[in-house]
Amino acid sequence: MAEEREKASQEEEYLYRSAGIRERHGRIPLWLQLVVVVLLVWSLYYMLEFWNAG
Amino acid sequence: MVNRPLLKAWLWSGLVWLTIIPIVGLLLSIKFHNPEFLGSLPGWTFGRLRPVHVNGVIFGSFTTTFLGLLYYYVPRLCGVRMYKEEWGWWLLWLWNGFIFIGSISFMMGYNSGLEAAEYEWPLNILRFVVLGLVGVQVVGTIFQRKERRFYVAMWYTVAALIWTLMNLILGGAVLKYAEQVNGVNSAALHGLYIHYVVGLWLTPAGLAIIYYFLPTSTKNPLYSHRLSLLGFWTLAFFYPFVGIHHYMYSPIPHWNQVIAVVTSMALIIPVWAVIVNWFGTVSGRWGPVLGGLDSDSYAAKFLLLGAVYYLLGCFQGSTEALFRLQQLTHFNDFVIAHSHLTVFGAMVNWAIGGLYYVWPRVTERKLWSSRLASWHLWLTIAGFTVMALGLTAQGFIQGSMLEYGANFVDTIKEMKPWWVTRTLAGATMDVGLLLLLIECYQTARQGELFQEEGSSSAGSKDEAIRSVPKQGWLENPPTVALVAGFGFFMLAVLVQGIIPFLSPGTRVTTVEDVVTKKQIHVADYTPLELRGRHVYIREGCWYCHSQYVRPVTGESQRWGPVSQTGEYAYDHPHLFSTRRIGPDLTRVGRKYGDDWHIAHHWKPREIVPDTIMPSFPWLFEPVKGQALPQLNEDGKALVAYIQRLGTSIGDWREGFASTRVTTGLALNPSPETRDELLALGKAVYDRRCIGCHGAKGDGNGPSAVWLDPRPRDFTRGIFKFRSTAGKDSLPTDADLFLTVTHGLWGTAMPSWQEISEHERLAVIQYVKTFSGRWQKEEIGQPIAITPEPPVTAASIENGKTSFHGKAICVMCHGAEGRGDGLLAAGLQDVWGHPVRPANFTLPAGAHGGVKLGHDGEHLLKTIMTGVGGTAMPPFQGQLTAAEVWDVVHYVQSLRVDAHVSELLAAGLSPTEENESRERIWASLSQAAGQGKIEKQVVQAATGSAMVLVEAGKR
Repeated sequence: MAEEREKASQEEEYLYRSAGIRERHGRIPLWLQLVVVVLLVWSLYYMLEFWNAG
Repeated sequence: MVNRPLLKAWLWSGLVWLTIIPIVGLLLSIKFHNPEFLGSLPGWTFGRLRPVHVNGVIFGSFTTTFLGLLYYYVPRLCGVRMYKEEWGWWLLWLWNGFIFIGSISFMMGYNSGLEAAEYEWPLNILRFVVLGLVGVQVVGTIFQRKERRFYVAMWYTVAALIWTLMNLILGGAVLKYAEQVNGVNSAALHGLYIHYVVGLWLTPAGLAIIYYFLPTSTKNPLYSHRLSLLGFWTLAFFYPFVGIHHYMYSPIPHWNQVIAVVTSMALIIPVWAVIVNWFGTVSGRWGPVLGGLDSDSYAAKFLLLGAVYYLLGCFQGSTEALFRLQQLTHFNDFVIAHSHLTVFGAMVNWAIGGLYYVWPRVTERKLWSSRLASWHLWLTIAGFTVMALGLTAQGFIQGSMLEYGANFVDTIKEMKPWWVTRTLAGATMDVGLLLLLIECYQTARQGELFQEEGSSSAGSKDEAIRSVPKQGWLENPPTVALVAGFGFFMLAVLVQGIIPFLSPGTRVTTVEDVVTKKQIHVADYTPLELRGRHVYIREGCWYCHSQYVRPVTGESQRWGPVSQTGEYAYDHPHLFSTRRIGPDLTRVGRKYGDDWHIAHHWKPREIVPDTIMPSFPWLFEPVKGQALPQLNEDGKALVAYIQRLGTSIGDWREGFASTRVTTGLALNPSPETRDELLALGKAVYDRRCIGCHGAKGDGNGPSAVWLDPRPRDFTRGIFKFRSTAGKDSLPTDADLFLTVTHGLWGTAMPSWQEISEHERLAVIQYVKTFSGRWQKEEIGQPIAITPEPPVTAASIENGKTSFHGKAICVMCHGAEGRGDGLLAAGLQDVWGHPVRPANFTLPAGAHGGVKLGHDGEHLLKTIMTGVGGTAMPPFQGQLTAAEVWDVVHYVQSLRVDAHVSELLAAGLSPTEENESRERIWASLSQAAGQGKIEKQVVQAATGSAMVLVEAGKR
């Protein structure tokens, strides 16, 4: 049910009439979500490790 | 809905700047491999033209086109005509006036010394007013909009204008006029400023363009609103923090640099988010887009090309912030590859994509020639890909060479073929841009009638829109403006600029003296030095010469000690610089004599054949009665400023290039080995020595006329410093190796420790071919060096007695060893050139001081063997070894006293004087370094140092 709702949400579109642009609500691919998490974890590690290393 | 004539006028202006400014880049590129190109006119040097190109691309080529496109997409996204549309005409003229007058002002030498913020105040005000009024127009249009949803292109537009208006205050007012913001704080805030120009103006403006024109030109829906949100908010949050990555390993607090690294890497998130969004948008339409021949297809092609370069350029930018990669790639063409990939590859190509889309709609004509557009596209791809890859490779090559220890000028020579390739690549791109101009001109004149087919990405009018999601708070105009625009910007400036500024450690006026490790004060610039600094800024020297020594890649062995915060206390603005086309100048003071600098500014390639520095004849003037022109007031000031650089941290040069060098068994090679070395020696000589010593080795090189003392004439086989006994005896290879390696302070002879030992040995063999003495005479054995006795008060006193009596040193060197003895004025060498006896009290590198240092063994050898070709005789046989050591200790004591007095004058605590004296002695005397120094020596002289301080004050 939730999957269907999510899929329906992704398919939602909006039309900017005077510009003629359609915009899908869309999704964020899972691999990109993983990239975000990994980079944020790495950032935390890096700051803790090198904050005073200069 | 749009004002076509206004739009057309803006885009015409953009086209003109898109054509002219890259040509300026081409002229600059030619100067890298043909430095004499365009002659020696003041307005056409690299230092004056570079800001024309950089600011011209940012504000002329890109921004003018962007503002034109903004007048197109903002009304369409808001569903109403532009607010105060008629202002657009005034703004057009003011904007073009700003770029034109600004470019001329750079060529005239008006430059504030802050990269990307070089404009003087009237132009800053003009730029601020135009962008501010455009901001008012955009906000006014948003207030009146009929479109209830706020599209992603508008988020970037609003944020870009807010960020940039605040940034212009930072760069145009705070950095320029707040005197307290100097030194490392000036650098930190300037690092933020530079990157805000790129990341908070060019980037969001470019993203606004592609977000609008990609769905419209591909006629496909935007792939994902969620990705738009992720991309915008992560960019808005991370980007404001990254700017300090321009000055990594500088004295800016380390934790600020760490934040810059982390946020630079985090920018991978927004970049990958928008890339996925754009390529998703094209999904299903690749065939019509890539195969299309109409203007919309070419618009999409340029937009997608820009997206590819954006992905590559941003990944390069993120990773080059990492400390290790930064060591290798900073200051070199890797950074230039990155800036071109992002600014030209992405932003300018996006603007061109928008232009291809809009031009037929404002001229109401179809594209004149798809073949011409195709040529434009492929010339851009070919030229730019070669340029970007080449510059990236160059960065790694030069960085690796320097990390390996190569001579700096050798790395420049290595770059020249690459720079030729860059010029050819740039010319290819410029031809493409010329074709664009022709295309637009012909389209407007002769294109077939164009009729809009309706809402492009909306597809068929009959197509049902499935639903209308509610607009979230993250995309409301107030959230975008207040949180992303104001909030994150201020947070970043607070963390990366204001907090370090408030930290006392960044505003110190003291440094650690390199020899004694004690704190001393840094003196402010003299009026002459300050004037020289203005000339340095005016001529754009800082575009090619950095001013900070990093603690990595052997820079402290190459240039001198690592930079300290306090050294920059009086630098307003800072001159750290982001590029090393020439060597770093932090420690250049006293590296060469003034005469070398004069010759170098007159005709640089006469003294350094491989240099690409321009000549500066306008810093000279003819003087009646003088055969050669002399430095004018600006020239004198510039040399004074250069000679001041790096001298605030004490007498570090004394121990920098040691006189205790040896090359072991490689010296005095066999005849077979010697022959092999000759060919290499000639090559080394022709590149590094010929400018002063001449092709015949007679000391009459093209630069020799400027030099005092004159370069050595090798044809007579007489050399100053030798270890062999007898007047004017032939030196050993080791003696020549020492001179070549160490250089001769206060003269034009630099240290060549940066070239390989093999090259130094080779050039010595070649130098020996100029005189027949080497074939006729045997080289004597080096004199025996007896172990240095302890440094005692008695030894110094005995030395003083000899100095004034038996050794008659006083006659030339003067009673206090200042080189002002009775005979000093009339001394000549065997060539008839005037000779000045050394002033033993001067610091290393000072004109008139010792030439090879105050090291004990060196002084002993010089006293024993004399100074070849001068009136200084060998004292071997006249003085015993013990007596010579006494004289050495006395001479050293003169420098120690002077050094201590310099430190006391610089604020050394009197309680630290004895310890400092002990450390200075240890740096000059091997015996003292081993602890063989009498306590009395350290303590007894206290009074004399204070007397010197008082004398200095008087």
